Amino acid sequence: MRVAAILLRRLGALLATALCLSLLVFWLTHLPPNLEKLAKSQGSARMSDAEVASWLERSGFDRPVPVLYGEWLGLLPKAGCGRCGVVQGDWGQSTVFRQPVAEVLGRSLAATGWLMLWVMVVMVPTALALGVLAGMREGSRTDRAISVATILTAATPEYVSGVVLVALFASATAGLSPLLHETGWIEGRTLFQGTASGAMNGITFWNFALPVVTVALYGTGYVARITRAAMADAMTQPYVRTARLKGASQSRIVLVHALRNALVAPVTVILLQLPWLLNGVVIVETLFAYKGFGWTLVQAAGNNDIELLLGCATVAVTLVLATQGLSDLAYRALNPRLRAR
Amino acid sequence: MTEPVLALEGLTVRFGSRRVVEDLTLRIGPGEVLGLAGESGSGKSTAALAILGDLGPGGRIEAGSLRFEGRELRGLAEREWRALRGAGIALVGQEPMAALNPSMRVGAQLAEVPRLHGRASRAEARAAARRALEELRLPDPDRMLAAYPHQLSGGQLQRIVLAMALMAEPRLLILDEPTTALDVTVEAEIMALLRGIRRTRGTAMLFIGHDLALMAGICDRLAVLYAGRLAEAGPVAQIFERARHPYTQALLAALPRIYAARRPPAPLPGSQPLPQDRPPGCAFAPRCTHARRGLCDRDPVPLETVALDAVVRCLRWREIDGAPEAAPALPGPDIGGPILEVEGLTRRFGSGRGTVHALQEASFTAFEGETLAIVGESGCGKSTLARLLMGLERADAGTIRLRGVEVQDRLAGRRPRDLTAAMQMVFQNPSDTLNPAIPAGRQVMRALELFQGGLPARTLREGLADLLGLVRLSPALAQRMPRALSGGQRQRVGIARALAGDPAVLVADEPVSALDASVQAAVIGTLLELQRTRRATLLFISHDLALVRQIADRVMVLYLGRIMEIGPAHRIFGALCHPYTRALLDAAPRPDPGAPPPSPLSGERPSALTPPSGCPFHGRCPRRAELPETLCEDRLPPLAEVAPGHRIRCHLPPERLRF
Repeated sequence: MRVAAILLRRLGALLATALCLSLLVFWLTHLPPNLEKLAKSQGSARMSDAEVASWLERSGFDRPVPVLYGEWLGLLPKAGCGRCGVVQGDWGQSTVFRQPVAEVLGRSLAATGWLMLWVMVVMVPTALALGVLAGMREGSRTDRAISVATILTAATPEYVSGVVLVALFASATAGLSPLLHETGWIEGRTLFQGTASGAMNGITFWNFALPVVTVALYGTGYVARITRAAMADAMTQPYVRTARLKGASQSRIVLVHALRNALVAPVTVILLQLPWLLNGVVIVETLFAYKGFGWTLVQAAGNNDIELLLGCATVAVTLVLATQGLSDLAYRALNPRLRAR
Repeated sequence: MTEPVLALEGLTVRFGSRRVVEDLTLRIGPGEVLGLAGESGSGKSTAALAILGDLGPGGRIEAGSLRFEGRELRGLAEREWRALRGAGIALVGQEPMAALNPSMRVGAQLAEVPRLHGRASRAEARAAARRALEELRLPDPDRMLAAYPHQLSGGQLQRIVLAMALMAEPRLLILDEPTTALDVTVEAEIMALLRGIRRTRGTAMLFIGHDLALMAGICDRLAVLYAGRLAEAGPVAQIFERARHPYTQALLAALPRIYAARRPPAPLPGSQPLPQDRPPGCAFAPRCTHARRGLCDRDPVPLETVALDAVVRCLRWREIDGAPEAAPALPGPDIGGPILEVEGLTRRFGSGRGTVHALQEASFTAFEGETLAIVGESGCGKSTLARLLMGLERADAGTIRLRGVEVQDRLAGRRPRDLTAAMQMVFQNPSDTLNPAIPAGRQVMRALELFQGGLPARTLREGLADLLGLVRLSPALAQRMPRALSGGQRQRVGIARALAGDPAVLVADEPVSALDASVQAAVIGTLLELQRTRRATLLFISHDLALVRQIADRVMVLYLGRIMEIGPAHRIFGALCHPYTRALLDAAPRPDPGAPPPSPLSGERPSALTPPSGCPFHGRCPRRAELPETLCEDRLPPLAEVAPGHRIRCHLPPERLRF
């Protein structure tokens, strides 16, 4: 019952935020200079001011922004199709792809979904294992080695690690590939493929490993840091001493007593990482030419594709807020003290 | 002689360059209870962890031997330690809530013990867990087994921790301040349980504590630790009767005694040195009135056997005679007119599951120059009352008049400056209430600036020097950061800060409960002296009835948000009192090894969420049977005057409440 109340409240907040943000993006994309740019890119680059004005009038862009926004949402009737807008599932037409926005978004989200899935599969176990190993014996050699490594990866942005990885493993002229090729270890010219565009048709280890690792590296470092801190803290708690003085073995202490209490922080952080991954995805998809959500967002912004941009923004907001709600629920599930209330 | 269960020989434990425990020699025979007494930092908990092989990183045993049932434990492999812990030696610690895993059900935590030590099946382990709870008289064991620790009370949790420690039938039970975090009545209950375990199982125990009165009730022998060294050890009756070491003597003199004349506990100057700045020779010499230069400040100070089974580490024990001088009795208070009048004060907290009545219709008057003690168990509303008085919270109903001015609707920040200055508070934990990033003196000076605004810097500095002098702090300490001060010094800074506005009313919320025994008396002495010289009213909130007996002029007893009794201390402690007050008095430990054990109050304290109807105490009242039918359940007794100034909330007629 309490959980239902929380969900309802979260849902309300989600809708309100999505509405505000889409209005903001809508208003920004409908500022006069941007509309002029739109007219010129849709019509002709050499249009005169008068031609621009008449193009805008013909396309209906000369009306007040609130009216346009209402039409986009589907709350106000639009000429030509009655009430059709986001609310009715009509997200408009992408000008870059010359396809309905919903279709473009669906395709790109599916592609990004695969990327995210593999990132999570790599990141979560690695990060938790590293964090637990490091935090189990604070100050030990293992702890220090893992700490240095995780601080390094957490401090390296994707556009650095991505380029370094490509140079190391996917360049025909630099890094490992030429060596391996010359000695006959690999058939092709590079060990991994430097582009993931092939992955749109079929994911293989060779075309997908680099983008996945690039996104996962940063998150792994960050989540491992959090896990380590939580684990180290749990290991100093009196209940861990109680367990030790009961005669429990080190592995039992770590796995049964400390881990569950230590997991509360990292699990919420992992869920909050999801939206952050979207951020990394923009860079990685562009770098590896993978046509997912990030790449689409860049295309939409670069080409002034207003309806696609609006669609991207709405989806992104929804994702961020949904994961936050999810992390709240996970926090309660892991913490019996909160569940009881 | 039979083989001792535990024998320490010259045990020395080091953490880095600091020797925390030095040359400790102890022996516990079968079925014997040895008390290890000392203040925080004396090394008593470190000794316990050394016995359990759990010193943690940085700690190691430097010298000495540690034998458990004749077997040397030094250098034992981790596997062997694991087999010994729990099964051979078990520990019960101070904080039951922290000692249990918050995300694991109680039953699973209990069942773990037989699973680890006896190779029991899951079902057997569960049955054993249930039996263990039943044996410790925990009501409704099945509910307990399925509960998470946060769903149970502190007393229940400590009994569960005790049950867990006993499950593998250890031969030695180490109790590290097992009742410090509990209320007096719950403490008495746990102590009764421990005495029962000792009688029925004959388990040898090492009882670590700082409260000699409590230890007198259970220990056979007592060892007193000071600054990592054994000061004195011997049979408990002998120590209470004739302590030989000046430190033991001072500790005993500082013990508040509940049925003694009204005088503050005898103070001991200074505080225990930290391991890194222990002086050469006798570590107690700088605080000792008997110390001789050139004798006591030189090593070695050997441990001498002075009688059968009694040792003392003092070079002059032969020349020192008996107890130190007791503090002079307090002069009668010079009580003036009313200064603080409280009428129908009520505070409720709403929560998801209902309303908590933290304080209900409290009415009382405090007079100029008196000490009014406010007594009760945790959750009785005493801290809520303090917060309402100070304006840290707003009352739901009722009035507070300070010097005749109504202040209940003005929160602390909105009271006029002179009224804020007129009522100040001394907090329980001085380390939490001082800003750790600002020198102690600056914080007192800031209070001076606020209360007496617009003073030139020179006057402020003089004011600061005066205040520090009043609370007996050396002016050099003003430059120090709070962490560089000892607990007692920090509390003195807290008092100096409260005094900056020259308050007419000083609210002290458990001002010494976070301090060590030998320091408590000195801080109390300072508070009382200030109160007498400045004619301030002291509202002394405390759970320590013995201490209250020594210093209070009047006493107010709270139970579940209601005033149960208010009256002159000499009447409440000497003539007649409420059955609840009586239960509190009976539960308090007596500093006398021969005294009958304190009797615990039966029943769990009801939740403030579902307060009982009628008299809030009826469910636990030992006199309930003396009244007809459902009177106590149906009607809340009035707070009726039984003598001038003495009011009691009970249906029983006053003549039947006499001692």
